[in-house]
Amino acid sequence: MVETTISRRKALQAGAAAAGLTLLPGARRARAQAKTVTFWNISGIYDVEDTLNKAKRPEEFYIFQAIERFQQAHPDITIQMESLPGETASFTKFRTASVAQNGPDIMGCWSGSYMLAFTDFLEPMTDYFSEEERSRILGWDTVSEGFDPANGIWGVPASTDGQTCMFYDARVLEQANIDPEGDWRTSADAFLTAMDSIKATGATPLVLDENAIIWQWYAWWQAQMLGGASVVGELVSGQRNFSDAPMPEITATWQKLRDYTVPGAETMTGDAGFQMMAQGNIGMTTGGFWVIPTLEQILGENLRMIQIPNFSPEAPLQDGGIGGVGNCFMVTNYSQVKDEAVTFIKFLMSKEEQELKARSPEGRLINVTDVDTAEFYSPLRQIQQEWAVEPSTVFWLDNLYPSDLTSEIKAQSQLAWTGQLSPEDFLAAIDAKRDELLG
Amino acid sequence: MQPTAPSTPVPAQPGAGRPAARRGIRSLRRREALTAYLTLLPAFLLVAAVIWYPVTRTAYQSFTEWNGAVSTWVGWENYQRIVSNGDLWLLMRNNLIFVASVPGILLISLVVTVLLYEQVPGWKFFRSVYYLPTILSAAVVGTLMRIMFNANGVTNNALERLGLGALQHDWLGQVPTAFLVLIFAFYWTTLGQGVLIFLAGLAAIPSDLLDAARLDGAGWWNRLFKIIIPLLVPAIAYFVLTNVIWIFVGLFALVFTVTKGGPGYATTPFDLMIYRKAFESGELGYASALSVILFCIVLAIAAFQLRMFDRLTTDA
Repeated sequence: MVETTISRRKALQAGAAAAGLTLLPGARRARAQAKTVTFWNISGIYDVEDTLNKAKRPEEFYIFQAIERFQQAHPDITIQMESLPGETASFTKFRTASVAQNGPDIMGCWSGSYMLAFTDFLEPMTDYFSEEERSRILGWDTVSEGFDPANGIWGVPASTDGQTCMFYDARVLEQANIDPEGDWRTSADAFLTAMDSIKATGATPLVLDENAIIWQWYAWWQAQMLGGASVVGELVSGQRNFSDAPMPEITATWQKLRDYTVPGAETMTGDAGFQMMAQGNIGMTTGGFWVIPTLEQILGENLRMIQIPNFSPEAPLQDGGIGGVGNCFMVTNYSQVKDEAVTFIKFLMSKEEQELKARSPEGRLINVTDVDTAEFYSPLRQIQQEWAVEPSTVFWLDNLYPSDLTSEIKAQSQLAWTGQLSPEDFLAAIDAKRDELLG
Repeated sequence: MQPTAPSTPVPAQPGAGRPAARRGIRSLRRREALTAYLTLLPAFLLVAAVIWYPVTRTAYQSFTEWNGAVSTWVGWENYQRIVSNGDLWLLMRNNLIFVASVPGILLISLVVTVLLYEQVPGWKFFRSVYYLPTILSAAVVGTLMRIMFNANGVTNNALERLGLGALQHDWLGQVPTAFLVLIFAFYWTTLGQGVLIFLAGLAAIPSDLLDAARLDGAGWWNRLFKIIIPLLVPAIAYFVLTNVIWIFVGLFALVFTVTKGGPGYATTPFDLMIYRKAFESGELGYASALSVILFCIVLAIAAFQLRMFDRLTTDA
């Protein structure tokens, strides 16, 4: 037997060498992964499926083509995209991942309070974008602390939602002897009278879903009667109460809409509302530009688009709706590839890419000033693009309210809509929640 | 070399070897104890890591304002808010409504079990399908219920086709019927579990006892309430205990998929509210406080039930 002695130094050297050999592939891998940017897209920003054409392949969608172009221009960066539904559950996933610090490098999100709730996990964007770069992109206020870019920018506005409005079937209005150009949408009373006329023909006047009833109709009447988003802000800060006039009157009138729509609207999720138009014999629905392709297929040339009725001719804000730059990109502060992530976002927001995005079959609306969409958007989409920048477009109220208040309003509105809460009790409940949040 | 003197055997004095033997036994015990502890150590470490650390950490975080990134000590503030804003009473009420439905499914399970046991016509078919809903995930059952009971769903359509249009209802939009739909879903998924447990319990009851009761003229309900149920008390105790605890900690998936806790917060149970506060609102400290309260409630209910059923079993 041969005895081998080994000094402590040699043992340590051998151990270190073994550890080095073990860790080396990991280190190599880490270097390789350092250039991989993970992007969690939400369907509100880029489509990755077509409800009208399930056979459409990924490479036919704009975002996959854009990623391919980016990777060719930047061979050292790989984009790994995961697509999530455009709903709050996606933000829940982002929050849980961020608590564990294993979320994406870039996250698509709804702007305003939805994204501002994540600032502890976000990289400030103020220093990444020059004044010149910012000047051609609209909506920086929606991604800024206190809705003022001077307070710090936490994201990059990604796209506009246009303005939510009414889409109607011209045949149903004609049957009810309603003149589309008439005064039926100048006030809530006139509108309800028109609804009676449609109902008398045997048609269902209006289909709505759980989001439309509160964040498109109720929010617009509320915002226009108060005089815009800045006054709505007073409700959040407690300078004004939800239960103050004219809110009870607005709420009571809004409750009357229920008689003209389908039962269960308050629990209908997703796109269920406007997709019911396919059943026929339905007068109108509400939504944004995203419902146009489906409704065009359902109604063909009978599809018309018009703004949601005014609550009163005396309202300080007339002929508008809810919408605006409702989507954004966020870069996480735990990302190891922040610069590469911002490079990718700048690429997507470039003039060339925005034009390609607007020209793509998905036809998303864009929020940059240097692309003229008139030559390639359909007429309805072009109107939406123009409405998006009108002063009468009020930014989504659910993106303005703190998330807890948004949840409370949505939850209590189900009870108010079905008459299980009176307007006064509904508004008092929201006031109570607001006061609790203010401490 | 001097011869070694033969050793003379020393008569053993009573008690002379005891210290050594005692030492040996003590040492053996120590070694056995050490082996036992070492054997148990991985399990202890695992339980400590996956149960006690999260529990302790949750208890600590319940005294903080924590959003997942930043944590600030706020003392009892979260608990005070839970009591003062009405969340505690609302969630207790919602959970207790579900708890109140347990006797119903208990009775239904017992009746179905006895029918199967007595091999009523069609029992073979029913025996092969009764457990199916139990193996479906709550999300699947919830989605099915939502499709069935939404205002334009299967139930209302069926009522209309049967000429019962007047009975059409916004099932999920009204508080009482939303609860009924959830309880129906709970019953549907729990029936299989109940029948399985009670069939196992029935197998232990001597059949000649039931035969004798039948010969003595005991009716079906008499046999159920006076013989079967008393003899099934341990099985019933297990069924009630597990389901009451499940109602407090396992309703989430069903409620989330059927009503999302609505209308309003009318059907929101504890676990759904914890999820909403923690992951939708980012109030992880508040959610931790709700979790601690839920833990105490479940602990108290389980202790009460165990004591009560111990007493019942002893009396029986």
